Amino acid sequence: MADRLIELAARIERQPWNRPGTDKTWVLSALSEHQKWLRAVKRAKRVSPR
Amino acid sequence: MSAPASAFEVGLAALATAGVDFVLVGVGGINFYARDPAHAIATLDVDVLLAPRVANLRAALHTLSRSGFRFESGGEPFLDIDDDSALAIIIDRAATLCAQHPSAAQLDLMVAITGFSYAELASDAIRFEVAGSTVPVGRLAKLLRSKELSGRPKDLAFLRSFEAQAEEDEGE
Repeated sequence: MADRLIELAARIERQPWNRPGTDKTWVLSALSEHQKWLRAVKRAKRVSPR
Repeated sequence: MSAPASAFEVGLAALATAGVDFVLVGVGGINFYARDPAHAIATLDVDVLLAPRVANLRAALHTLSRSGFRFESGGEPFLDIDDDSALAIIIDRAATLCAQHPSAAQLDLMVAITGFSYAELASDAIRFEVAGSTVPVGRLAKLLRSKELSGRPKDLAFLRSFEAQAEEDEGE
């Protein structure tokens, strides 16, 4: 892997929001909300234009 | 009042509480390193790498089943969660089981990943908190490296996009 990508990963891991023990529940909440949004878009596409 | 926990949260917290050996990988794992939802990458599922042992796989399936998940393998329902010989075949073939919740939450249960063994990923995984439980996530460099080693065009495109986005974020 390119050194710059390894360095980038290390820099990201060192960010304060990535300290071990940080509450990351939001990641899964956001994923769930994204799915709800996709389902809503799908439903909207089924609505007849008339 | 806080929003009710999503099935993703419930499922992963249940696995952690039950003592199942797992580590999060894939784009779902990479998203744990994002600063906030605006910097996360769109995905539809979470990849859960399980320690490749029959007892561990059985424990994962039972735990998720109690949380309302049902399973599929190769597009077919997988019902043999008590059949150790069927579970051994899953492990031998490094097959992926899809754990699906009626809410549409999907956990992809894997027993192998390109480039790293379970032990290599679990040994230095970073432990984050999810819904009050501790969840191990593979180191970012390893998750990116695994995508690179897979060689799939979509994974290589993902890496280019990830690098460009991350460098842009650093400049913010």
